[in-house]
Amino acid sequence: MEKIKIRVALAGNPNVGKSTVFNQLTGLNQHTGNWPGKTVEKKVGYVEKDHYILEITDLPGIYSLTANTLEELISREFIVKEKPDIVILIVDASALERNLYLLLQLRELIPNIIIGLNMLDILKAKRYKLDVKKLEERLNIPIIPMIASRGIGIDELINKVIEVYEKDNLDPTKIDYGELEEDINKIESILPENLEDYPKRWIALKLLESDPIITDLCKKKLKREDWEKIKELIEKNESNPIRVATARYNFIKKILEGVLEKPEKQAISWTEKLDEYFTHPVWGSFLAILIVALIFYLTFTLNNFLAEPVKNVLDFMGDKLSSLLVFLPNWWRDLLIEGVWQGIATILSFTPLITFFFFFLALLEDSGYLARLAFVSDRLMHILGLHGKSLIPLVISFGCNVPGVMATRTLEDEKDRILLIILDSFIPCVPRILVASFFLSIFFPKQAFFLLILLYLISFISIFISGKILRTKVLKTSFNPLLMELPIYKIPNPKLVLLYIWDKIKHFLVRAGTVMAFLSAIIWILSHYPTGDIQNSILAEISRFFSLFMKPLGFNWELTTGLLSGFVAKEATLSTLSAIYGVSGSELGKILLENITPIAAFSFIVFQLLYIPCASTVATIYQETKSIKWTLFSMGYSLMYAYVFTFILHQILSIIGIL
Amino acid sequence: MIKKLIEMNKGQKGRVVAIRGGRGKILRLAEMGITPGEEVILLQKSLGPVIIKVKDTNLALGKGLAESILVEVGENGKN
Repeated sequence: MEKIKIRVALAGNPNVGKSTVFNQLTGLNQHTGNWPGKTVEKKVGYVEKDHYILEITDLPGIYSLTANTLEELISREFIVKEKPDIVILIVDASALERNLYLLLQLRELIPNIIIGLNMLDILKAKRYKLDVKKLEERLNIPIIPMIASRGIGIDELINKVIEVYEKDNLDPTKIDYGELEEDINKIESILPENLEDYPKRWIALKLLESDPIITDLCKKKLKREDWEKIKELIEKNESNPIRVATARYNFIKKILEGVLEKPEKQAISWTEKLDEYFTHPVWGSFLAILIVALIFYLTFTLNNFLAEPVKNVLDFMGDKLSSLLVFLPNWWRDLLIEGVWQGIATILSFTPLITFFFFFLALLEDSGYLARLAFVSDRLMHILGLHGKSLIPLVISFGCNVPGVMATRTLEDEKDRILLIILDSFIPCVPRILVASFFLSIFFPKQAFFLLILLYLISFISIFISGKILRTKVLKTSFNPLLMELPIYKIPNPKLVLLYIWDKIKHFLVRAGTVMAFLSAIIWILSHYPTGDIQNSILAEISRFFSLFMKPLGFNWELTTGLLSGFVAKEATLSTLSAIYGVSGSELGKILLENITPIAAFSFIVFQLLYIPCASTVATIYQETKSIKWTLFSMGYSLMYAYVFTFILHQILSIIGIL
Repeated sequence: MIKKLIEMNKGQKGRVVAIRGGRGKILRLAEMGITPGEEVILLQKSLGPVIIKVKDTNLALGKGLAESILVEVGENGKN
C-alpha cells in the first residue's frame, strides 16, 4: 500500500530541546541542507508509522515570527507558503510564559498545532506545579508532556500527529488582544482577500508591529486610499508594537492563572550556582582561558597523534590506486593520483582534526557553556568590533581555518556569520606560521621571535581594519549587540554529540572534497603542462606574468609561483620553491638569501600570511555559505587587502631602509 | 528610584519602566521577555555585558542594551 505523507514542521525557541526532539524522532534518517539561497541550515527527517510517513522539517530556533532575523523570516515563509499539515511547537515548560509567546504568533498563521511540552524534569526541579489538562483546555490545543533528553513523550508525539491529521478539526482558542481588538478589526475590514496567502488578522497584527516586510507588501498591493486609512491607524500610537507584545503577554498571564503555580521562594538551581563562577568577572575569565586553551591543546595534540597513521593510510591508498590505474597513460595517471586524489587526500587528512574539534564544540554547546563563554569574552571581542560568540571561531582558526570557518555556525545572524568567515582567514594558521618561520630563520635569525609576534599583531590589525571596511562598505551592518539566553547546564547527550559530529564530517568530506579535488587537479595541470617540468610549466608562465604586478612588493617569479601553489595548501609554498630551485632545507635558505632582499623577504612573509586562504578553507567557505558570490568575494578581498597592505609596508620599509 | 539596568547592583530586583531605542530594538527585547512592568533580577555584572533573570529565563545583555533599559528599584538599593 502506498504510504501517506504527513508534512510536519518542528518549531520552537532556541534551547528548548528542539534538536533533541528532532534527533530522537528521526535518528539517522535525516539530511541536512540549506534553505534555498540562505546560509541557514535546513534539516529534514522522516519517521514511518503504520501506513504514514512523517516528513519533519526542523525550523530554525526562533523567539518570534517578526522579520527581525533571517531565521524568523524563513520559518514564517515556510509555514505560510509550504503549508505544513501540522506544526509541532516544542516549549520549555520551565519558562512557559516566554515560550507561549511564539505559540500565540503561530496560532494566527495556522490552526493545526501540537504542543510538545518539554523539560518537565526542570519544571519539577524548580518545584513549579503545572496543570497540563487545564492548560490544554484553555488553549484548546493538544499537549504532549515530554522529557525529550530521555526519550519520554516521543512516541506519544508521533501518535498525536497522526490522530490530528486524521481528524483535522483543530480550532485553538482565539487570542484576545484587549484594547487593540478594535484597531485590528478595522484594519482587517480594509484589507483585501488573499494577500499572498497570509491570514488577514495576522497581517493586521504585523502592521501594528511595524513589520518591515508586511508593511512594504501592503504599501505596494493596496489601493492608495486604503493604505492611507491603515497607515493612520498604525501611526496613531507610537508604541503600537510594544502594545501588541504586551497584549500577548497579558493573554498568556490570564491563561496561566491557576494553571501554573510557582513556589514563594524559588530554589537556587544548579545552573545559578555554577554561573556564580563561570560568569564571574574574574573567575569566569580565568576559567574561560583555561577551557579554551585546553580545547585548543587537546584538539591539535590528539590530531598530531593520528596525523601520521592517517597520512600512512592515505599514502597506501594512493599507491594502491596508482597500481590499479597502470592501464592509463602516465600523464593521465599522474593527473588522477597527484592531482585529483591528492586533493581528496588533503581533505580526508583533515578528518581527525575536524572530528576532535567538533567533539569539543558539541560538548561546549550541548553542556550550555558556549553561551557563558560568549558572555565572558564579549568585552574583549568588542575591541575587534565583534561580539562574544566570535571567540571560538577565531581562536580555533589559529590552528586551522577550516574548523574555524565551520565554527561560525554558532552565530545566528547571517551577516555576522559572513563577516566572521571572511575575517577568519586573516588568522594565521599553523602552516602559514611554518612558512613564515622558515623565512624568518633564514633572513632574520636574531629577531625571529620578535617578528613572529609582529606577524600576529599584523593579523589582528587586519581583522580590525577589514571588520570596519566590510561592516560599513559591504555588508552595511553593525554586529548585533549581545542578546542571548543562557540555557541551563546539562550533561551532554552522547547520541546527540555523535550525530552532531557525523553530520558535520559527512558534509565536509563530500562538499569540500569535491571542490578540493577539482582545484587540486587544475593546479596539477598548470604546474605540469606541457613538459612536466615546473620551470617551464603554465604555472611558471602565469607566475612570470603576475610577477610584473608583484615587482612593487619585491617578489620574483619564483616567489610568485610559491604563492600560487600555496593556494592548494600553505605548506606547499616551500616544497614548490624547493622544486623550482632544485634544492631543499638549508640549501634552499642559502639560495633564497642570494636571490631575495630582506625587505622583499619580509614583505613575502606578510603577504603569504594575509592573501587568499588555502583551497581547503575556500572549499569550506563555499560549503558554509552556499554562495559562489561570497566565496569569490572572500578570496578577492583577502588578495586585494594583502596586496595593498604589503605594498604600503614594502614602500615604507624601502624608504626608511631598515631590515 | 529609577536607574539604568546596568547601574543595578548584583542580586538586586527591579521593575522595567521604559526602554529607549527604536521600534525594532524594543520589540526584540519584548519578544525575549523584557516588557515594561516586568520584574527583573540582575544576576551578574561584568565590564561589558550583564546577566538578568526575566520570565524564568537568564539573559545576557550587551552593555549598550543594558544601558537603554530603565528600571525602578526600591530605596537604599534594596527591594
